[in-house]
Amino acid sequence: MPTAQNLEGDLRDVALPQVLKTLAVQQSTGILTVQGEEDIVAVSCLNGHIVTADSLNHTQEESLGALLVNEDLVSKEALASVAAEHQTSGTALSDLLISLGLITRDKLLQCLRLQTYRLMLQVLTWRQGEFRFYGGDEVSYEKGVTPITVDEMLIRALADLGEVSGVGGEVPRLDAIYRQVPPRGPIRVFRRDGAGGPGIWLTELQQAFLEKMDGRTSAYDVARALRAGRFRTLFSLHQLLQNDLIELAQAAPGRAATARPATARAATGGAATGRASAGRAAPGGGTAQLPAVAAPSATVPRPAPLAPPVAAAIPATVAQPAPIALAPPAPRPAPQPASGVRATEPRREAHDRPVVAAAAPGTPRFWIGTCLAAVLLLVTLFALASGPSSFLLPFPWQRSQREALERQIRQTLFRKLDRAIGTHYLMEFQYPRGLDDLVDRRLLAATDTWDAAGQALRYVPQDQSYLIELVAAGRTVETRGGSITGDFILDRDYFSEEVVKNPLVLLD
Amino acid sequence: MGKPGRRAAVACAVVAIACAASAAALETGEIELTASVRLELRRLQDSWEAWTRAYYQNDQEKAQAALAQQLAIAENLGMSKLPDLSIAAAAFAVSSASEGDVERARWVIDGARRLDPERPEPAFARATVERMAGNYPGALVASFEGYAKLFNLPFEGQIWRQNLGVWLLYLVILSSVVFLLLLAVRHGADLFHDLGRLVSPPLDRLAADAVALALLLWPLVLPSGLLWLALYWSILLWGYGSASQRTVLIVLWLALGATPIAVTYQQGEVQKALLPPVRAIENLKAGRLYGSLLLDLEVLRNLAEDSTVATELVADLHRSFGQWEHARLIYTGLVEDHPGGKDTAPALNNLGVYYHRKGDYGTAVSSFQEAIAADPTLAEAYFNLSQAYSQSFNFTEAHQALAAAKQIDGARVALWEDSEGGVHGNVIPIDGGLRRAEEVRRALDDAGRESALESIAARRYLSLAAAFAALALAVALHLLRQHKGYPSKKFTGRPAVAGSRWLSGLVPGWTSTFEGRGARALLAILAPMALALIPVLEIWSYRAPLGFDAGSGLTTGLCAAGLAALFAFRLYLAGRRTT
Repeated sequence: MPTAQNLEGDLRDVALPQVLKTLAVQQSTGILTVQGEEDIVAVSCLNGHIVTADSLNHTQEESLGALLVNEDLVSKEALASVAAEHQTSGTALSDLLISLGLITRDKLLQCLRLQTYRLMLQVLTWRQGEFRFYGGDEVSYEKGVTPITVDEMLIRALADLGEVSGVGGEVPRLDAIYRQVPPRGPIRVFRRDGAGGPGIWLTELQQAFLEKMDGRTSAYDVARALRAGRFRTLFSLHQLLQNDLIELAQAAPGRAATARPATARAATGGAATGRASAGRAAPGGGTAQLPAVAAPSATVPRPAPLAPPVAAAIPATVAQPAPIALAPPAPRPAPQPASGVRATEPRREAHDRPVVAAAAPGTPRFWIGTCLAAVLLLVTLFALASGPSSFLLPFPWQRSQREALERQIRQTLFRKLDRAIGTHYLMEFQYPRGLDDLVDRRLLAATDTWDAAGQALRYVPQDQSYLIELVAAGRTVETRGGSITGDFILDRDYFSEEVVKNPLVLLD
Repeated sequence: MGKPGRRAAVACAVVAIACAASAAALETGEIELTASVRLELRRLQDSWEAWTRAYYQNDQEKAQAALAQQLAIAENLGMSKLPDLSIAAAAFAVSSASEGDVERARWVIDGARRLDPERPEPAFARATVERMAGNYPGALVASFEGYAKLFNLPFEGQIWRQNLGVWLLYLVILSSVVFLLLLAVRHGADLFHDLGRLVSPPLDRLAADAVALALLLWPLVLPSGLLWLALYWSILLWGYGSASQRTVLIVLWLALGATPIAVTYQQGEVQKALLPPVRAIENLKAGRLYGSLLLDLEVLRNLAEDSTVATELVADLHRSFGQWEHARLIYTGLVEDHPGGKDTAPALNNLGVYYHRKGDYGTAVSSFQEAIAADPTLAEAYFNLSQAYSQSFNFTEAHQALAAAKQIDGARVALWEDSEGGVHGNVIPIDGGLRRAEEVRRALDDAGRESALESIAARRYLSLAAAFAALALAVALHLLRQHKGYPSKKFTGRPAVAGSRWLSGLVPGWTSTFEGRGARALLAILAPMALALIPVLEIWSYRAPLGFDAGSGLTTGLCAAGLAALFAFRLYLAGRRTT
């Protein structure tokens, strides 16, 4: 079996759906180029999923603009203005669209996905041409785009295009009930049973679906049991039907059965595709045609199994008798597998820049805005540093209120200090030597030794009293005194000695 | 003296006397104490000394005996709690735990709790001790208990409530600054370019940029230029925002304008709470005997010299201390000064109680009857009258008086009847001063507020006017520019989001600002800002005068955990959005 790394051939021999199935089964990463009669399309695959598709004749930006107008997301006038701006400034169209607020990034990503899907639909109708897959470790694509799985691509193409899609058969119904049919050959599961040889090749999921098709359970229930998504389910059913492994047991109540008996389908579906009817023994959907993919490739020099650096890969490819012009003399180069670029990184071409707003990090607009914001930030920090009260009451005429607030906050701090000093006196029968004593005894927090503006407090103990001074820039700003005098719990001298020592004694 | 004049006088007195009292410079001879009361208070000092000796000797039995004696002394003085001693005991417990003696620390904390079950300090000390002992769940529970008690304390709770207000103000203003920062990032370049385009036809690009920069930075040359710069930019950026962003900016301007009014209100509340008389009233109501109680009451008496409530409060204290003669003199004076007044009913009742205790039931009956005449809703007076009649063997009248008392307040009368021997010989005194304490507080409040606002009476509304001026200017500018056109806004449509997952996740409001969702951006900013501000609030705002440092570990830890969870969630959401 050929590996996806060196897959190449002619569309007359191998239909594009089969190629895509192979890429999906092998979870390949790289770029599949399809050269038709009128155009060349490069399909970027990441782990077997389609992440983007580019056409040589129609730039992505042209197609995107048309799509946006057709979908009524952007008016023609606005698009014309943006296009003009795009022409003059050279800024990517998508960047402009977002920065000018014409479309959100999410919407743009959806449009790009739709654009890819439509281009793929177009390619699937091609019956003549050549294809070649350039494997790599990574591909460039628009970050944030939801990849299109091959299952989804083919099922939707079948639904949208019918027989023209080349997929063959019809879209199965989820609400129908299927039952197994005796297989015409040995069933082999891809990966589990190796990667080549005769038999009907299925994926593990398709094998699981086959086992569950008991003629009683609806496809929907089976899908729920297997936790398979809609497109995976439909594609699995489609493949099982195509391989005559299941047949319709009961159509959905009140509905005409879409899937037909295997015999009828074999005649119609097989004839429709022209190739699918023969494809029952290959992995990844069971097409026997896949070995035919390997046959021509054996005669054609292939690129290295893992894509070499892009510069080296392109000349080798272009030199082939049936060249896949990845670098035609067009205004822009065709996309290539960027083995040295992370998949999450945007492409560097001007037309294909990451879709971000103009004020995104790294852009001049971002830095202008950021510089203005930085000035504001400095203002804020300065206000906070000069005292939080000036932040609450910043206006010049609020000075007296600001000072009153600061005084009051200090008053609560002094009250706290008084209490802590009193408690220390109760414990030691003397004043603390310094505020650190109070902090050590957890009577105060360390933050209580300075005020809200960060000015330090100085504590001066005396014989019967103490002073607390607020020091700013080496100068005492405010002084407050305290004493135990008058406190009948702390002050031992509060009571006259004669009363205490010579109380009156009553005698009977 | 007329009411305004008296208010002004009271206002001056509040400030002058409160400052004097705060400095603890008052002589305390005004409130006389009898020798027995002085002896009791001295015994309290001695008992505390005994407790400290027992603590150092690690003699739990002696310590408990001393503690029981302290509580008995407090009860003799009509009180039930000793907050100063409770706080000191809690501090001793932590010292003990620091020395490794956790066992002693625990029984000391139990003692601290008994001395004042409602103070939070023993709970915080317990949290510290349990943390030192490695019992973290116990520490957590004790911390929560401490905070619950803290919020229930009148003074400290009031400070915390005001701090909550300060926190809200900081939250709104700081969040609005961040909102403005994000707007500057989003639209700053548009603003800069548009200002440049104003002069770009005659000037080249470089000169136009220089002019734009000058147009942006000119407020710096004004006094308080940084403030005007921020306000000026918010006005300029207003036109670039979406409808919701403009709404948010308007709300923020108004919030900034209303801040001085809110701060003024808070200042009044805190000033009132800081007054020594208010502290005395709150503690007397809670039955707390604290060291500077007499000093604080002296301030009250000097502050409200003409106030019958203040005088009655002092009389109540004398009665509570058992100094009945002192109390009788004051009650008699009150009754003579205000004959027949409804407010004299508690004093008349208490005079009746005095005579009843002396065995002079005839005079007691007269006093109770006068009290009832002054205020017929006093159940205590009817009940006491029934007791006095009983002692005089006038059982019919006694039954009638008791029935009248039950009619007024049956539940309380049942309690009095069930109490063993009643209070002071089956008769019930009334804390008339405390009942009317709200009057004192209101008077102090009004006086305090007037003095606080005296210098800023009108100017506090200037900020609100500035906010409206900013709004008017922004609208005018916007209309003007809309007429001329916003060059950077020639394309309309929904704004889009810029930046990476990290920016979206780590900068609150980033995505919403770029999407033009003002309220959502503000909410996104508010949440982390609220958490981040809690730890610094203890420094920036009023300090709750707890006797023991609760430590900021719990709040800081909770806030840090909250912030980490919040940002992790934001990153998760941002990741989902980008994939």
